[in-house]
Amino acid sequence: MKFRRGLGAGPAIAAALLALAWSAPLSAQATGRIQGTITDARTQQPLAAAAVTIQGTKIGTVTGEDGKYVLPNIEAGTHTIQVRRISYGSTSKPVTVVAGQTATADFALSEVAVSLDQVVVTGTAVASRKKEVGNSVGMVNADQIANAPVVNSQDVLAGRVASVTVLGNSGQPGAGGTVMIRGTNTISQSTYPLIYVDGVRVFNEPTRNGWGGRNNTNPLQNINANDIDHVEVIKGAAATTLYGTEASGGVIQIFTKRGVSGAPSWDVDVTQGFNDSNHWGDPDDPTNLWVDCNNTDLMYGLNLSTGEKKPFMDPTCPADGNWTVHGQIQRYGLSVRGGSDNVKYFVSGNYDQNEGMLPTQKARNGGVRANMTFAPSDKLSFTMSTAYTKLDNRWVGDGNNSEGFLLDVGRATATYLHGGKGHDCDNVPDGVYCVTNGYVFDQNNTTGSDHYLVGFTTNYAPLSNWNNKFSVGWDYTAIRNITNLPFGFLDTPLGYFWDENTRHTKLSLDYTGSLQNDFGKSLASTFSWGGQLFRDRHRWTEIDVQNFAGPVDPTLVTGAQLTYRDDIPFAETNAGFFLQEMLAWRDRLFVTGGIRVDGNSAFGDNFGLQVYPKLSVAYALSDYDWFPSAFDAFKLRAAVGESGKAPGAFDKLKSWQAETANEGDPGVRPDAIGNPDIGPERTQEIELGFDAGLFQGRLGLEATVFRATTREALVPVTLPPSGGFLSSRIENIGKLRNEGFEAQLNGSFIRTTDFEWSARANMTFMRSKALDLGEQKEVYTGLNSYIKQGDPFPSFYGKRVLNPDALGEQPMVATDTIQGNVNPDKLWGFGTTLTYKNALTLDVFFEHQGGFYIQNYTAYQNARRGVWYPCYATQQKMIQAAGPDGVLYNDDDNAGAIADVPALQLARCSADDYDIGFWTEKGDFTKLRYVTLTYALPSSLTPKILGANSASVTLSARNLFTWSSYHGGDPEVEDFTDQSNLVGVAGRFGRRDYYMMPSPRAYTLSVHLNF
Amino acid sequence: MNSIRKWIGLGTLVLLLPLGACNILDVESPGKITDDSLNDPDAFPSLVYGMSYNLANANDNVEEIQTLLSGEMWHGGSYDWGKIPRGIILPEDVDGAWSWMQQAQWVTDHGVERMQGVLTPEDFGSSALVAEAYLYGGFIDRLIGEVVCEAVIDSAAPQPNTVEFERAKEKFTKAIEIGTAAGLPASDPIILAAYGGRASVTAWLGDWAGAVADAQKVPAEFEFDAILNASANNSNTLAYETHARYEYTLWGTLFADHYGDPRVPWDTVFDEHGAVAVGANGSTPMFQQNKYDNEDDDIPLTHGTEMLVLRAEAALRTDGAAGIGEAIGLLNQARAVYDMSPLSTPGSLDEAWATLRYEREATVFLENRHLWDVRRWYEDTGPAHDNYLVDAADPGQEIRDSCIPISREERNSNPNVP
Repeated sequence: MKFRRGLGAGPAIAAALLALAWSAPLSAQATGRIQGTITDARTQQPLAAAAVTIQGTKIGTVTGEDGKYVLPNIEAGTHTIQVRRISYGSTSKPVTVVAGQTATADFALSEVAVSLDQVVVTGTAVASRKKEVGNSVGMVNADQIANAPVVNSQDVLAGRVASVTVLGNSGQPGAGGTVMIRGTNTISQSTYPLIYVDGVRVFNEPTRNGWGGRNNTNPLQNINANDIDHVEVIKGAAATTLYGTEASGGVIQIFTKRGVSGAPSWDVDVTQGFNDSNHWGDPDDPTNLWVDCNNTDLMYGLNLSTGEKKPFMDPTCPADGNWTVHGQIQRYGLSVRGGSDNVKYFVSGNYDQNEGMLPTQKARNGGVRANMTFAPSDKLSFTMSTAYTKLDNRWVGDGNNSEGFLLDVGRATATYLHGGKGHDCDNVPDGVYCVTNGYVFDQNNTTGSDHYLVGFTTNYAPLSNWNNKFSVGWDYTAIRNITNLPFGFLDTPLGYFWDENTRHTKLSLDYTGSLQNDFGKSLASTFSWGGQLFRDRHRWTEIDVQNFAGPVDPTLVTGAQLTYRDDIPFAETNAGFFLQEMLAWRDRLFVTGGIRVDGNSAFGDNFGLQVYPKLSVAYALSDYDWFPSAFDAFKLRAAVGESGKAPGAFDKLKSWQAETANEGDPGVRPDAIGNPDIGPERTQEIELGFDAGLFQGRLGLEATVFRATTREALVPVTLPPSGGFLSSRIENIGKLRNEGFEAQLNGSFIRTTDFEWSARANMTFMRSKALDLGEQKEVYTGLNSYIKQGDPFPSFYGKRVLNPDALGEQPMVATDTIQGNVNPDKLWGFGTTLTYKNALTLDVFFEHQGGFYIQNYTAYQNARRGVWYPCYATQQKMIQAAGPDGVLYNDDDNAGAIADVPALQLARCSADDYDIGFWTEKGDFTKLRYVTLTYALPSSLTPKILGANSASVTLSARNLFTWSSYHGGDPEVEDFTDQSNLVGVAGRFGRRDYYMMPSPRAYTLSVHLNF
Repeated sequence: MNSIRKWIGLGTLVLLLPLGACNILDVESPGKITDDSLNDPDAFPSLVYGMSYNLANANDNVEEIQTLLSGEMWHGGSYDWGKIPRGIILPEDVDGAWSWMQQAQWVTDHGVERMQGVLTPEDFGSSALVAEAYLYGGFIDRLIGEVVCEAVIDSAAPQPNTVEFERAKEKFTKAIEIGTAAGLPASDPIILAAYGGRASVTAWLGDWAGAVADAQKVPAEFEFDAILNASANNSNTLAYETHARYEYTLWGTLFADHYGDPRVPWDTVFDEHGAVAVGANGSTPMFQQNKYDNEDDDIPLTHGTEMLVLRAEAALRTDGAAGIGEAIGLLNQARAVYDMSPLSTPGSLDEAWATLRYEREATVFLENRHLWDVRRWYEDTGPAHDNYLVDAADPGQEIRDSCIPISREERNSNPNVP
């Protein structure tokens, strides 16, 4: 189904954009008015954000905080009013409008765990009821996060949607995480899902945060959680076909809040709190990795030849004997929404500041957002969404970095920061090593990020059954990372300044049209078509300068030695169109078929367009009378579809790289051999599942099995180095398999007028297999991780002790064995909520990620240097056992000394035969992500608080407990600078904890007021 | 109404077809140099400078392995070098160094071919740039020949490493011939360096008389370097790893007993308490090399003092004990360049060889030459024989490796390598 030659990109673009001009003149009519209030049937409380529409038309609105709605300019006559709201069952009733008068229609909605009438838009071409959709759609709505201590959309997704993996990566405030959906289905390309905000595609790749911070900035951090109305997640190729070439990693679509008719409604949020550090390093290590810096009994390393203690002191240790602080957390949010019959608006602003758990750490995040809708008629509306977010973070050195906090503090006598300045060490006794780690805080590593997003959307429905939507989006991200060791820094006295800039612009044009027709009473059709064009411009530069003449504020010209490192600009385009037909039979059986045709500038010159087909079926069995009455809703669904992943921008090019030769001559050397035949990898996915609601909406269950097969996977083929080109050639030769099971359960087990106990859980089990990698059978993906034919991927490989528990025995070591998955393949999230009198709410949320391994480089590097306390006893025994020649397992050994030591411990603590394979550990963890207690003040009291309509107070604790067998600080961390730093360039998969800071606990108190 | 829509649609199609036909789907990649663009003669200088870059990079990347394997320095750091410090080297240990050497060789071979394909035979045969390219080609061939166990050239099957010496000799000869035809004077660095390079590979091919003839053309003070540049992506790694970090030390090496030799500059590093500082492994005393104390420091490829030592070795090989006087005289000429006192004449041929071996080791210290010396001296059955490759702790049992094997990457990707 692909056209390799002869069919150029032109027709695709032309066809994609042809539809943009498809429009028709306006018309308008109105004579009456409908108003009413929507309430919760159980609590009688008003419901905000309920969608009220007139059935069979495009006329509709959304309720405000008071649950009220108004539909103006309604033609006289009888209409059916339908009301939908997330987490509630939909309802409808007829209303008669008399010209010049106002009709009233109030509704009381009942909570349901699963609603098939809920509307989704992601992956469906046009807004569709969940009933009609043949694939699973993960959703998070504002209600679910209203009281949760979440700051941005990355936090919102963590643990709440089945098959979505969110790994936090770093304990530094402001650090971004890693997000994957349904695991990894690529070898050489980005695993990140596409991200849409209010229908506009945004830059979706994380960007590393420099040599100092060693974490990343993730685009999901730019969306304030308070602005989110709801999030839709579609997970695999069966659902993402209409997004085409770049969508096989899934799609996350975030909808921010909209304006509603009525007087301005103001929301104010104020949060204050503090961070508190968890234990550092091995939970059984009493030294706390010497973050407790004044405990003289524990402050020593070990001479691995003699077993003698090597005591050390740190005269720069704070007076309280610990490096950590209780950094303040502050968050402020203000938003207003309102509007008239024709114009609606939502405007918000926020400022957050998080000072972390170490001195000088500070993450500041602020932004404004404005959404405005203008509807001059019921056929035409214009929506503008715009947002600006600024991140301003200061990092303490972290990770694999000689100025990293934990790499120095946690290394005892092997720190790079020793000796101090001036008289620092005068009072350190002879024979005691003087470390001066306090100077680690002199560095000034920062990340500044500016993100602008503007989107204009026009909806035009010339006829009640014909709709057109056209969006233009512009997304701009600028990130500047600074690593600055100022003049006079302890181990770099002349100073060092490194400046990295990333700028990315994404322009998007997106048109979708749809035409609905009924063929008799039983059969209906919805035909959709559309075209999209996305143009990405990217530029990444890095420069460093060192050796400053004095204590100046460094710039790129004030140092004596300037090193030009890199400047990589590129621009690429993806354009395509789609056609989709959905046939509905008796509003119960829905069959949808479609194709997507794409061209992409990264395709090889010998490669043409790519066609992706899809087919899905949804069958609402609960609409039949014979279906068991316990089911309020039950839908079977099945979908098969394809989507792809484009090669890197440069993968097709045979190119040379400029280098500075001799003392400044311009030279070249081979860069990439290129592949003119390269195309996208294609993922075909089949998913089967059901959505069920039971027991009057009290229990909801959604379950899905999926199998994704990626063909023509882009495999980096190693070329003989003697052929001159040292980089791999990317070829479409691989075949990968991903499959799994996911389920989501929502239940309301006790539901009375005064009390409710509800719970929600999701779980995912995945497995992967590399089916075919061509002749080379394996691909190295960094940090001892490989993709090997026949094995799960990506996995760690290396040395493994075969007799780990054997006491006193020499470790039996297997080499080059598979150790386990790099990424989690078992996920679950569990949350439960208790609500009393609709005023007091306790919310608890647990998250588990399992089935993966992590490299504990902290322990590995420390143990072989004699500074890993949990090895001290073993190492003393090993020295004793080694005998006169100092070599273990010889005839002269005093073997009894290690008789009670397991072989794995001997391998891990060895100073001679060390290997990271011995420290590649299971990373499985369960975290108590948060506990919150919210008290909503009685309505009788709230007017006394500055005249508020409603007020609530929330007490939260985040990351309270972690259960894990991992011997490092936090199995969720990763030194992100290990990863590729370039967009569109093959990345690396290995994850390692290389002296990374663990996540802190955070305690906050929040006040929310509505006016 | 319908007809209006049709016209709008048709008009849009007409307007957009040129857009589709234009290059909007092309990837824009400023900064990427396409392969075709290098066929322009104006780009040839960049091609040849690139050869110099690659040659320097290859020398720099081989240096750590060569140094540890040959015993010039001892591993006192935290990097996991496998068993290389114990003299055992495996294919998976050498992917990087192997690759850089191979790329350097490929760019010179194919760069010369490219220039030959574009230039007229007359211009090609009288181009100083071509002479320079041949010179770099000769030095990379020599480096590969000296450090690898088997040669793999342009994805072909393995061949004996000595093939590289033959290729190098041919290239040095071309450099001399074409450089001379281009009007370069006999004193031009390209010509002198070509003679120096050819002298060494001629010796390794067994023609010591030919080697002496070339060596005599190189002045004692002459030096030709692989140029490293800290401001570029091509800095001196050993300088960084022994000064910014404490990864390698002279502790435990032959040179630890020769403090003060200006050819092997090193110093003990002390910590703030006056104790001897230790390497990054936390235990090995740090005897810091100072030959390269700056990341801009270049690596010599050939120099006049090396030529004098080569001639001294030729004298011992050719004349045996009768050549001792001449050899010591030549060594003293070399020592005079470093303001060192002259050696006294050894009493026996064995002593003379021991003296020569140290003098050569010191003269070419950290220049990627010592691994080849210990290899050829070990294989020599005459008085030049040296037992360095036999582990003193277990003589006759364990032989240290003396050359870099074909890398794992090359083995896995080259179907011609078994």
